Amino acid sequence: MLRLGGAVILMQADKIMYYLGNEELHPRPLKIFDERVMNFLEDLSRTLRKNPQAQKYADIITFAFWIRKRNIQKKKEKYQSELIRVGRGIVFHIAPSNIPVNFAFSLVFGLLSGNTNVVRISTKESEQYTIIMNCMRNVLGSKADYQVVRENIVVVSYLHDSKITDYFSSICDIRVVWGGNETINEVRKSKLKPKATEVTFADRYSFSILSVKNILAMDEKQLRKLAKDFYNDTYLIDQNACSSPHLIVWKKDKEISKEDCELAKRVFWNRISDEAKKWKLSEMAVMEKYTSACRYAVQKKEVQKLHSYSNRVYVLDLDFVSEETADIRGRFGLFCQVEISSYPEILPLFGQDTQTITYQGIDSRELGEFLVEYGVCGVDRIVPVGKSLDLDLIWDGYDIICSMSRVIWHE
Amino acid sequence: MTDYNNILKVEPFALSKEEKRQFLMKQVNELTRFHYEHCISYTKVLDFLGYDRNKMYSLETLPFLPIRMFKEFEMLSVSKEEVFKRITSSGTTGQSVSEIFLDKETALNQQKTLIRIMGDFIPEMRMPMIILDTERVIRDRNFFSARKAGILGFSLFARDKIYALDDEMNLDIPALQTFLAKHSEKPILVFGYTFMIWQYFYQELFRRGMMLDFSNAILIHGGGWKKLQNLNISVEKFKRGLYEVCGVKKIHDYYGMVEQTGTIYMTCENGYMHTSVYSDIITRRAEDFSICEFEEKGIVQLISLIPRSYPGHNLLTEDEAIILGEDDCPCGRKGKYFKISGRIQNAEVRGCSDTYAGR
Repeated sequence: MLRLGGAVILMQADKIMYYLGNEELHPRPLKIFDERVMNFLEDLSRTLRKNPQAQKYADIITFAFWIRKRNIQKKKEKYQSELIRVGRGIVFHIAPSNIPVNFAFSLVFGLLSGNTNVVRISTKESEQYTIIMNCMRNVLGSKADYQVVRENIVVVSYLHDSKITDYFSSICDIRVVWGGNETINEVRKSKLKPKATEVTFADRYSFSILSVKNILAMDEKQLRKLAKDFYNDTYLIDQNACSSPHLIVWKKDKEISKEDCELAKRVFWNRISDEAKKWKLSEMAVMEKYTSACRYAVQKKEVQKLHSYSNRVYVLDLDFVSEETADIRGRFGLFCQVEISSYPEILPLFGQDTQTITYQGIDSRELGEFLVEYGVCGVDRIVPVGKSLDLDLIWDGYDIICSMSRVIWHE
Repeated sequence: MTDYNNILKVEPFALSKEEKRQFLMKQVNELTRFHYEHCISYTKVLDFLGYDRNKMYSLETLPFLPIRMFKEFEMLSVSKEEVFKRITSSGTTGQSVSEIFLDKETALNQQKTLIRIMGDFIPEMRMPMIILDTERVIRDRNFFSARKAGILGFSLFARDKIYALDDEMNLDIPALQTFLAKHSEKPILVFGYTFMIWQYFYQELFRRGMMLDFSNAILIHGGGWKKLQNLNISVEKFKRGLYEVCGVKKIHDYYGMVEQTGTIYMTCENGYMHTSVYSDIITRRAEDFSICEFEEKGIVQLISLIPRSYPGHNLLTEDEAIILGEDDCPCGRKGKYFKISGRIQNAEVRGCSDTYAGR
């Protein structure tokens, strides 16, 4: 890279594909939740929802609903303050490749916090990319008002090339890396400006807490709903998301007998087994699952018995948990379960790597207070079953708007 | 436990369905109990799967180990001092390797079993033998020992043997011609790995437009079809091609696992692979591991009575096969006969992988 009188000449320019925007970056920070950005998102939402191709993709529609003005307005209210908050400058996003629509979420986070964005998407072709970017292009060109928004959006892709990553890292004020730990370590080799900051989404562990009493009190309709929600948290993405649970903690109240607890488990897993009938089971997934179940039986002292519901649901009984229990990562519908009477019994599970606890029938505030009281380092989200994948402005322990903006202090 | 020599007294392809069932059931229950009591990792898996050592199980309900366990753990049912040989294999994933521990008895039983099975396919127990490979496989420590074990195993049947390829994988045609002339009166055993045969023997002869006279040879090959399938070469084309360059008519493909060396599955004159009484195949459905009907494709489970030094007697493989029938193959051999369909397809992983974490 050469700097000639302030102009930046990028040596690798021919290796970069520009989908939206171009190499000319003029960072012009906006206030957070700028009205023009919110209007643009509302227009984009309508355009996407009307688009017949977009309608085929549940993830695009989820995104379209999320960016509606009404929804964003509600988020904005949480940031009302005397303080003036503006974007920090340029955000360089390294988006995940396997869930295409997340590039769009990452971009929107950057826009809402008032920044100019360079988003690196995967070189793998994806129809979701095409649909979203075509709609964006149309909406951006539709009103003169959106000129300022257009200048804040650059979407690129390039084959893994550390020189290009070096370049974007050297000009950005915030780098956002949707990792895998390996990706994060690789990207960290590229230097940032001294004042620049970084937001990384590393590999995480998640689990669920279910109340035995609550499950036993549910009627059939509620159970079906719970099973459906649980399915969406897990099977929908082959249990591969960082926020998908690997372990079910059964919380027993004092009056719950051993038999009640067994019954609750049976009630729950039978419904999951029914729900999982719609999951597309592959031979490869079955082999992976059976092999890893046997592997954990050898490696992990806490693993006791296997309960299988056809090859769709595998449940491993644990008789205790330790820090290493978090190493047991289920995929394709493999879960551990353990019974507890009180939270201190699962203290080892609240380590730094733990991200999401999904729950049913417990008091989330009480659990949150417990975590603070015991001074644990992990757990960034406590959300009801069914919400494990709901990406939002609070994620992985970051308040994303605050992390990507700065405050102008005035007296 | 039953003396393996008594097992070998049973003719390899003589027992009918019910007789074989009773015979195998007793043996496999014994082996399962033996390994349960002698291999700690195996004990853990069987406890996990709910095995009860006091119960007599049917063949189909006995617990089976996923084959990849041998890549991830040292599975041993004898003390390390008794280990006499280790066999390793490359795996599907390329990097991880199966490691099999043999004591003297198991190693010997592998040879004896191979001799019993092959006795049904070759005219004489000792024949002039051509190995369509390089001797470097035997000398060089870097070669995976599964290929080495195959060559050494089949060399049991050699009276006079020659390696057809030199150290640089060139076909040594003059040496082959001399060897063929010397043994022109006798049937000759030819052995090699499917892909090697195609690449370094067939293609070389074809390129040079040369013919060798293998008309009184019996060719035995193994090691899978994957590489040839990628080149779009079918079983028929393989046979036809070889016939054109060397006139070989008797060609037998075999199937087997390094984890169960010895109990190989030979292809008969009709092109079907056969189970001997010393081993069995079961095909299972992915949905719930229930047993497939005949002619239904399923995941291959292999049972072998040989493994004593490691718990490899009952394995779930990552191959798929179609069992066509039992006891009624036109070739006259009793037992199940089948066709291998290939490996389980590797599905693409959705969700978090290395380029992604967070949702």
